[in-house]
Amino acid sequence: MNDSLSNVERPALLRVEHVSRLYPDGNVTALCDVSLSVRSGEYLAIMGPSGSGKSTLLNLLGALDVPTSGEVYLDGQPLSTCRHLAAVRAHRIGFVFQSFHLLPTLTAWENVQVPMFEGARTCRQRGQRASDLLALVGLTDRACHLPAQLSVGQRQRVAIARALANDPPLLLADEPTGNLDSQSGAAVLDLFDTLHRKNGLTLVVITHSQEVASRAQRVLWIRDGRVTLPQE
Amino acid sequence: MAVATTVALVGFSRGLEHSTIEVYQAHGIDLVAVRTGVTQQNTSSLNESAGDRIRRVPGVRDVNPSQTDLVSLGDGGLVGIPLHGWPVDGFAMQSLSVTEGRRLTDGDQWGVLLGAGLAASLDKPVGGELEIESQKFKVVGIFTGLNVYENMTAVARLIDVQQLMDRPGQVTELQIALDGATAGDAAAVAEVRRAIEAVRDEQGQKLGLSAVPARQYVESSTEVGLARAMAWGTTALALVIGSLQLLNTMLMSVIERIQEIGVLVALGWRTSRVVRMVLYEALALSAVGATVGIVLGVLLVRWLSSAAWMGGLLRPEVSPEVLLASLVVALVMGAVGGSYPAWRAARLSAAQALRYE
Repeated sequence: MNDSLSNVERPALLRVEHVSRLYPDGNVTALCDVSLSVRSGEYLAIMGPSGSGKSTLLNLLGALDVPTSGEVYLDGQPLSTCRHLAAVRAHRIGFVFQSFHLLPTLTAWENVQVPMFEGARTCRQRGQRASDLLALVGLTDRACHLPAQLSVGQRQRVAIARALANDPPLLLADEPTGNLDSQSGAAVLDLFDTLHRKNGLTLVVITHSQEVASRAQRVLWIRDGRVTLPQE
Repeated sequence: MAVATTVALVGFSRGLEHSTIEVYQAHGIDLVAVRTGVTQQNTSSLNESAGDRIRRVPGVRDVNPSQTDLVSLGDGGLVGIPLHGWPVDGFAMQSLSVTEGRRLTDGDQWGVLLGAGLAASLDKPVGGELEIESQKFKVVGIFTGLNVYENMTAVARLIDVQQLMDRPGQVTELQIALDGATAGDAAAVAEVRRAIEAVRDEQGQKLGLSAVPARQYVESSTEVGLARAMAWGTTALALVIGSLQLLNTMLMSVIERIQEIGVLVALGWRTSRVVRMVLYEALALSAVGATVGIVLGVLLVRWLSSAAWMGGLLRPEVSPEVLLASLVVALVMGAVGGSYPAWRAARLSAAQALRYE
């Protein structure tokens, strides 16, 4: 576990209080009375088996879903009272998905610009920012390539650049190395390390992988919809 | 296809309307007198002698009694060909541009003048014979009309057409030429119209005439009205079908891209932006469809109007107004057809959409 940064004295960027998520259709309780907090600048990994509620928790943290009960706070603000969740997602949170979810008809450079349409940047500024971010993830020479023309590792790096488009303080990643070979996976994790250390980005990573979790400062386990003690 | 249909059908109906108006104007016809309330040219019936009384109305230069009927020619191969019966010395007959043979005279019983297009379609030279309503006519001359519509007509002596139609002494309309000073003065024309409508017979009974400007007469005629109504009716049907097809296309597009739209929502796109994206896509699709439809429509009317089996009777008129209307209609279709898919897209939950396979 990487503990080079101390976050104890930092305020909580994310706070989850007694959150439950019930899916009435299937009468499934995906999350049950979960509470946790993520401090600003922290690198947290959430581990658990399939169906344990990891992705449900990530959706709630990312304002993609609303809890059946309980509350999620971002920077102290309860998301349930937030009238513009889209704006929160656009400017406060970056998403990295296991399947990248790049738009297939847009180039890497254009894909990175997609979140920036929700902002005040001009066309030129969007283009420049996208170029800068592609340079950050080492893909300047792939800017004009379509996702299908990129390797899976490159696609994930484009997705990371896209997640950083609006300079969010929080990056949520759902199995970011799940579809990558070990070399590409390591490159992505190195990139996360860099973003965490140099940029002070708060990272929450959902993973099955012990290797991924080992890069985080703190690991939470989730099983049957409940947060449990770290396991060996 | 809806746009192509609009361009083609409306083009044809406008072509028919304007061709007919042109013919009236080319013959110097300012007013047309028919029985009051009659809008269907071929069923109107007036006493030919009313023309003599109208001639005495101040401002009227001349009156041309006309008996018109639609006949089949060429063993039924050509249908709906207008046959005009005109006095041989009337101004309408005199204004024909006879390019082969000669004009009709009083001695040309069962003689006929054919428009150039009709003569070519029937392959009848001057001196040839043709049968109209079981009566043999001899082609005395061939005239070149102002437009395709006139070139597909035939003209015979008034008395022959009256006999052929079993309507002796009757005409379908009285074509009126005004003198120069009157024709250019709207107030004077209105006065002449009132005077014609007040004309009475020997017993002092009103003749019940209605005198209307040639353009108005054509525009309000049942034949032109029917053509216009059929054109717009068929067009409306095509547009409804087109809207439904577009709705289906856009709905499929949204369903196929649920995950993609979910990604956009997850990345912070507002609902309004997602709706705009789907609507703009529908509008772009409509604009492209309209452009292709307009080109297809123009090609279609050209091909149809030149097809031998159409007899060249129709002259298409694809005006900028029709093209603009088609484009506007297509965009409205796009907005209508794209609205429901846009609404569906707006209601997508990002979390559900991302899981959608």
